Amino acid sequence: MTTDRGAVYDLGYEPYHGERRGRKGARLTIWADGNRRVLGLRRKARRKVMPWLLIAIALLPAIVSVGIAFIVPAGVSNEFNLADANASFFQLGGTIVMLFTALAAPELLIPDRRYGVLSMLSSRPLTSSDYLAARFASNITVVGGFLLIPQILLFIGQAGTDPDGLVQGIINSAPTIPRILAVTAIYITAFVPLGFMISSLVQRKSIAASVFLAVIIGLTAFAEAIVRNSVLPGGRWMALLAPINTADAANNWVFGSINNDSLLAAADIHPALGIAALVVIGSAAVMVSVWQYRRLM
Amino acid sequence: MTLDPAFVPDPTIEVVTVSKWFGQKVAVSGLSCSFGPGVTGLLGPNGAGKTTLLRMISGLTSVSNGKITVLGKNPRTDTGLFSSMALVPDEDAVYGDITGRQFVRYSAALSNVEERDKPEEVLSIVAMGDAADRSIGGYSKGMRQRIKVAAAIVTDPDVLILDEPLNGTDPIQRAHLIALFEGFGEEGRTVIVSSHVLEEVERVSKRVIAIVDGRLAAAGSVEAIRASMHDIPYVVRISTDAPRKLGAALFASSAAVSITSTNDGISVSTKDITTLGKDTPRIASDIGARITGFRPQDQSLESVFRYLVEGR
Repeated sequence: MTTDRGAVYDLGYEPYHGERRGRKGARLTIWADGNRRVLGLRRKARRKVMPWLLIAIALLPAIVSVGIAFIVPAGVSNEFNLADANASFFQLGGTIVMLFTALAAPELLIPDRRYGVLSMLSSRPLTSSDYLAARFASNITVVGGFLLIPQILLFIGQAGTDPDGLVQGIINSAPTIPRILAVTAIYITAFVPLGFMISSLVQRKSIAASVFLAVIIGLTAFAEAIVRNSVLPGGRWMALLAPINTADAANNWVFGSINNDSLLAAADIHPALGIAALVVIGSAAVMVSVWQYRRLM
Repeated sequence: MTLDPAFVPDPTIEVVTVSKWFGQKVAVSGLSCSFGPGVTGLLGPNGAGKTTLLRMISGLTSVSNGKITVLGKNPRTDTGLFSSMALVPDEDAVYGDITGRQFVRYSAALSNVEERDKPEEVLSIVAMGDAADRSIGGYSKGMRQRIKVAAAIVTDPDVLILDEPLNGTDPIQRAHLIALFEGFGEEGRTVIVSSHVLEEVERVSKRVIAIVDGRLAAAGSVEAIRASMHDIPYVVRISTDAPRKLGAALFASSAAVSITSTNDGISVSTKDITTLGKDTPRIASDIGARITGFRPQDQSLESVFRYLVEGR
């Protein structure tokens, strides 16, 4: 007796009849995966250490300050006055966020290339721009959250310790909200696109993080040397290349305090121009990342 | 009118005089063929251009010349097409630092498959349910292949493209996956399975597209292609206790072209391996020789298809 070769076994596969959300859903998946990846969620414990350590370092001063402000009665000491603390908290957070970006941007982009998963992602309903936009959104989300959470704590502290009561305190503190959002955007613009660009070009996470920190610190040192020593004609414009100083100066400007020692002040450049420079540099960095991923995907 | 075996009556994938070159290197040259519902084997030696062709069909690589359509759409520009299409790439396209279950769920979410049980279902189908919570970094090659297949089929694709999906799998896993691909083909999905191993392709699909050096070398049913290979001389090593006697007897049969004898056996060159295979035991029995081995020496696909191309 002869039988046909290749019998078909019922292995239990059922067609999918549910809804499909298209590109939007795919972008959302990439974004959510990015957030988890950076924060080490659903990953081994050792992958959680660095991000959560940095988050703890950023949060600790806010927790302590707000805690003390609640304990120490108002007017006892100005040291525990939270009213003008936003700018200084951003300045502290800004330095830590630089380290956080050095960790986050490589984690978002490099494993997909290292593990060769881009081909799998490319055969899904999303374009290279969708992928990059979703990863960029993840980066903004985690870095933004990193900057905003201490400020939210501070806001609660400011409102909660207001002598006029909590409700009036919220009303009194409300004008700081747009400023907080603006300064968050400034620090994001200063660091995230640059970290993203470097991570799109470098093949290893540790090297990308090192290059990012070297570029940021190197640019700052270079600009400091040129501007402070007036070694080049027109060299004062180099101050615009120092993202940390520019973001810090813009932070102080937004919150209404003037720092005459800042690099921008030394170069006689208005902080608004500094913000514009951050936007231009950030846009250029994003363009490089887009160009790179158009080639890769 | 008879249709060229390279084409099918109701194609879901059409490849029209497609060429692809990378600098000076021509990977695919003027290739035309089509694929329809059911399983088609894409056969060719390493470096033949199979992966390049599959990457072009999947929209991962642009064509240098010609045109490819999948379900009537351009895979390079129509992103929506990928809701109906899945690729299992040849390379290790899996994260090493997450579990198999997380990877399949991620894949399902990327293709917007929201049914919560679907990842579990496919993990079970590829027999990875027990290992699903282990990190992929610790998987064997065969397990990685199966998790890649699970990540592809979880999307319930109409078009499934598998580039060397059976590499590294053991015989049981292989049979399991082959049955799965056959099942997909029977359901009317378009399944392309590439391989450089003739036996694998023969088991997976009834229809084969064979390419060598980026050109179409053969197309049609496996039987028809085999039949067209009758002119290729095979060398078979027969181990026996009476090499000279058996050699002389076999030479008298029409299947043997030439025979070389050694102390423990003979090497027979033949153009009809099937007849030789049938005749040898009978002849050995007639002359009282004992056969302890019958091994084709040169059945590599590369040599077979190189012969096909160079013979034209």
